Amino acid sequence: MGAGGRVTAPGDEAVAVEVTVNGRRYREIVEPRLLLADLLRHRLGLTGTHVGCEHGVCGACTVRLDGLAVRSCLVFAVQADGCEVDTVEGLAGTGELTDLQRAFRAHHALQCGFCTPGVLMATEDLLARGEPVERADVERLLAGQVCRCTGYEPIIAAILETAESRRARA
Amino acid sequence: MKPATFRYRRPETLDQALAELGEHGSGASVLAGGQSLVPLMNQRRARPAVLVDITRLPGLGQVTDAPGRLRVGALVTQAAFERAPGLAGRCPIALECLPFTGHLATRNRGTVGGSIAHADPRAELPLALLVLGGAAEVASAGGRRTIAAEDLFTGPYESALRPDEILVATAWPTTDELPGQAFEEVAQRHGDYTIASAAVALRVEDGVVAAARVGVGAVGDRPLLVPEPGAVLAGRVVDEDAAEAAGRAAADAIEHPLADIHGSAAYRRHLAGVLVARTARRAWERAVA
Amino acid sequence: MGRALERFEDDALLRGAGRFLDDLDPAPGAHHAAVLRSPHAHARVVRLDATRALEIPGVTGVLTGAEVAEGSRPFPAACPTEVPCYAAAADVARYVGEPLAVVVARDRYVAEDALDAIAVEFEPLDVRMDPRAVAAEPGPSLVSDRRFSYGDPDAAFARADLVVRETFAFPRWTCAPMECAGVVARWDHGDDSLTAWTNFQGPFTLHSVAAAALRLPGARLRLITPPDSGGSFGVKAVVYAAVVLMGLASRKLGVPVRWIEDRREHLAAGGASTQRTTDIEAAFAADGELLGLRLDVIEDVGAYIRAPEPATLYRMHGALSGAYRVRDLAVRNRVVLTNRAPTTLNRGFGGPQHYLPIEGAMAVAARRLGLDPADLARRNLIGADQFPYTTPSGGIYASGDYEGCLDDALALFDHGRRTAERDAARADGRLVGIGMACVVEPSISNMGYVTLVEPAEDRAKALPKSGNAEGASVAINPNGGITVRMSTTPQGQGHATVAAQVAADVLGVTPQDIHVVTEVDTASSPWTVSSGAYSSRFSGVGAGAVLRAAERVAAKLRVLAAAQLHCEPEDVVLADARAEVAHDPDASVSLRRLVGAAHWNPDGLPDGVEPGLHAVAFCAAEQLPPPDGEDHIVASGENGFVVDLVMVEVERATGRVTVLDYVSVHDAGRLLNPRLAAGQVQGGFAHGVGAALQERIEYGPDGALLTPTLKEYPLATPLDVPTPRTGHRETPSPLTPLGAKGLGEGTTMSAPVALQNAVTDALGAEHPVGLPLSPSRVWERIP
Repeated sequence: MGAGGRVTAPGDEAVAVEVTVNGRRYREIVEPRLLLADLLRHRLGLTGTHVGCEHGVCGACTVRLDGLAVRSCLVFAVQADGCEVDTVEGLAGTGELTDLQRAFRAHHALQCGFCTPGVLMATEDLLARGEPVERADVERLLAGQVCRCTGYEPIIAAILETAESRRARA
Repeated sequence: MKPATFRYRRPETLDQALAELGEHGSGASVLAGGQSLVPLMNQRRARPAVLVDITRLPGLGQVTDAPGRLRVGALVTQAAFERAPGLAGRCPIALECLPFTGHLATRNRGTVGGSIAHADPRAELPLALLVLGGAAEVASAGGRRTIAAEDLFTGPYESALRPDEILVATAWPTTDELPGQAFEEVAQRHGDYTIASAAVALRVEDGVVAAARVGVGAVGDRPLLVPEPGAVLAGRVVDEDAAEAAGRAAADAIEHPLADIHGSAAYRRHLAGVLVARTARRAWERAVA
Repeated sequence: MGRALERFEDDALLRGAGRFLDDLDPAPGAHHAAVLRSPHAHARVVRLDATRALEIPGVTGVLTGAEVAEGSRPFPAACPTEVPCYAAAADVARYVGEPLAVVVARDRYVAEDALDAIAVEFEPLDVRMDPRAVAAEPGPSLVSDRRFSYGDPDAAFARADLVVRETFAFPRWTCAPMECAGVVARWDHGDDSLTAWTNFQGPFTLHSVAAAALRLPGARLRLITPPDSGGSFGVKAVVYAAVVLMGLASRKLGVPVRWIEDRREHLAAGGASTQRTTDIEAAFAADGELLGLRLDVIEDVGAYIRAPEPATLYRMHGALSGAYRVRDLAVRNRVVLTNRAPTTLNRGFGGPQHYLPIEGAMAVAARRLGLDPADLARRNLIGADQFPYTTPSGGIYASGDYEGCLDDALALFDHGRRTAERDAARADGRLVGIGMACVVEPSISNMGYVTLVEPAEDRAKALPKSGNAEGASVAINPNGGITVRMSTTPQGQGHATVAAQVAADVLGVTPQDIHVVTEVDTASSPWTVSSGAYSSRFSGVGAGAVLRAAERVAAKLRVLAAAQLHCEPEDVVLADARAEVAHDPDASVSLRRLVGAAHWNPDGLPDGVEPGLHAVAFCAAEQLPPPDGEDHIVASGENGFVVDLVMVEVERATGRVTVLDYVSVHDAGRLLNPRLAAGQVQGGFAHGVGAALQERIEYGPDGALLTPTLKEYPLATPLDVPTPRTGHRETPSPLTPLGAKGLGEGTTMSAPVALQNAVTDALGAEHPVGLPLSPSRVWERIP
């Protein structure tokens, strides 16, 4: 439950939500039906998270909610009350691209770039588990993160390379 | 695609949640992981007037080992279930079907309870629970009851839960009872549209099948427990011939296979038979290993 | 040029700092639109009542189909039609998803609430879904019936030893880009003009179509594209129709209107490829020579003939004979309307539909003649000594080495070994097959080809259409920054990076010194009617325009340098951000000084030299005239060549198709950036595989859309798309400024038929197995 805010009251349509996004705290008043993706994009101006289908299939909207990759089109903003959200903007911030992002560039793992933020966030979840990552794991991950431009191969290469180098450094 | 308006309730206790359902009856829907419900709401195919968010209710998020079964709290996510320690040994069928259930990001949020309650005829977890002979533990303001899996799935997206009830846990019989378990499916697209699926759970005694439970999914309006192949396997060693015979029996037993753009009725019937044969064989190999 | 440079576009995209249409707020205070769409495939709209919708708080207003009919004209079509297409339906809805009204509200959520509140009464009408039935009888739904004859096909068939007769059906499919369409429309009542921000991809011929529909002079329709577009593959060509619809809404309601298409709208009405049925007869001599072709083509363009159709049908007209020497062809092209959504450009754009019967028939013939398909192809391929080659229908293949490509592909595939593997697998009872496809990949469309839908005598009455041109500007600004502007509306193809490479080479700087602007503003960009990203035209005319503009600026720099260095301009070399005298490197001046002179000291300029450093250039593909009186057309400015070989296994129990090996060899002329080239080949391949195996927009017999969401329309995953092994052979284009041919659609054209041929071979089938090669459909063909 969000700190200091009541969640509901009979007849009320608007709800207070406190959410931390990329380390920054926000407090917004929202309709319960506002999707988290729309909160991020249109209320908080974080347009890096993209909307591709709003039925949970394509994965473009994937963010990390309390560390776990989720479809932000299938979460109501009110459900993120008191939670931490990480979006693509938080990866490099105002600094250098991350190793994963640099690998994407090196492998030409993006063309139009629309699916890319969702892929990056889902991948960060996968890599955070610290388990060995096989090609099959990456293929299954990307089955839920649709790309229409690259044919997937360069994305797979970039992710495997990053997984390998992170394990080597660990 | 944006959902219609609803009133949002996030109760802090199960009693509060049940009171909400009691008050609003069928006008209210329970929101757990939302991976099945919210797509429908976004398309406005579901328009609950009240959404009761149960994700913060305490005590529903554990996987507990009980004699002969795993008790899975309703809010255990599919991802958490997949990572439950020892699952491979205790309930391999669940571990085998979970990777087919949606994708990483949907399993992080989608719950086991939600998948069971949603009763999608193509879903993996309902078929697995049915074949294991599991059950759902259900609470209402009036108390608790247990619904056996055979009685749970009553139609397409229809379960035996009443509008004032919340599923609080599912019970998954383990390898103590049914050591040989296997699941397989053919999907039009990985993680999404299942064309046909099959699951087998069996027990071997004195070198032959003592009990076998066989189910098929995505071929009917609900997951189907099919007794005929089990009867074929009873008392036998499951070699290739026995597996194929079981598969044929399963295929013949399906009365009205679904027909749609992803598969004709004949194809689904055939595929169901193929998958039953394969899972029967694998379940046997695991039981005797 | 030619280096595999990392892309400049990537940094922003990786940070989530891309600027796609829905990320922008170009018209602050815009209201949000939702579209009421027909649930019926064919129905009279008896009554539409928005009263309750208007009462919902937050609703700004409603624009009805009747108001659209009053306030606009139908979209001009390439041929006469009795079924006019407006931006929304007024009296009759003709496809599931057709717009009936637009609700505008303070946000999209409320707008959709209002949709629910609009009451519509329908009277269902008969639905026509079978293209062949529609083609069989004259009527408004048979929009065009044209016959073409080249050489003497009857004589060719008369002397044939074998005639292959087959029917092929290419399914309707969509590349389904990840980003859907979008429009922000702002009507300006002060000067009665419309400004629309939209992720439109061109061709900008469609700008005129939209302006005509809005009854606006072209100059009063200002289209502005965003910096980034999330893929298009042709599909976003038809967003012009939404520009008209939202423009009318903005005009009526006096507010800017913002509409972002959602996925369900996209699948229903965003546009998909045509579906094409071809009855083909192919005449062969006993030794395998292809003597003649007869094609009876039925092209289903959906419920209306809406611009740019029937472009999909006529795009390939110059390459009807494909890669082969056959000279005698007869073609009948019928364009029909069915109660499906109107079609649009889609990757491959007529190529996949055309090669399915051509290469499919070759595979059947090989089987019947007892020849390996590679030998049959070799027997018929245009020889290396025959270039430049003019096809029977007027296409010009300027350069190529088709046999060399075939040899490369066979070697890469290890054809002998693969064939042996296949035969051994078959002996084991496995269903393994090999398929191939040889495909001429046209690029740089001649805008005049679509006029072929009209007979020559009717064409003569109208203004001729031809060519394909692109514009670009290069400027060195007073602050020394180098800016390139282009109008090719990239959606991920890396145009900015390549443009920077091209300009950098000419100006003697590094690509990182170049800032490329890819947003198009029809009020100020250098654009042409053919501007946009389609038919793989960028490496030809797009890069060509940048090259020309850069050369003009470079020429001026040489003049300025020559004045300072006391030499002739032709002795000046631009390199390392300096201008040097050739053979005298000590005599040099920095670019910065030259730029300073041009901007800060115009008085000191040599006589006749204007201040500033800014050049605009247009590059037209050479020799793309209108069709002649005998229906010959140079339909495309260049033609690449692709040879694909694939080995598949069909799982007997399930019908699932697994690709065991896939090889694709391309000749796309000079490769401007090998990394980007590989990306285009891979991406085009993925679309071709998707279309072949699983992606089909399906309608029921009653016109209901059976694939309304991504649950039903299965987008290919990495588990479905194999990794092709690729090769390249470069026979440079003598026609384009950089020697490049287009690259980007070839494997979309070749993969579906190569896979079809392989599966047919695997099943040992007499007649080709149809697309899509889904498990269920393949299983039904297993003997």
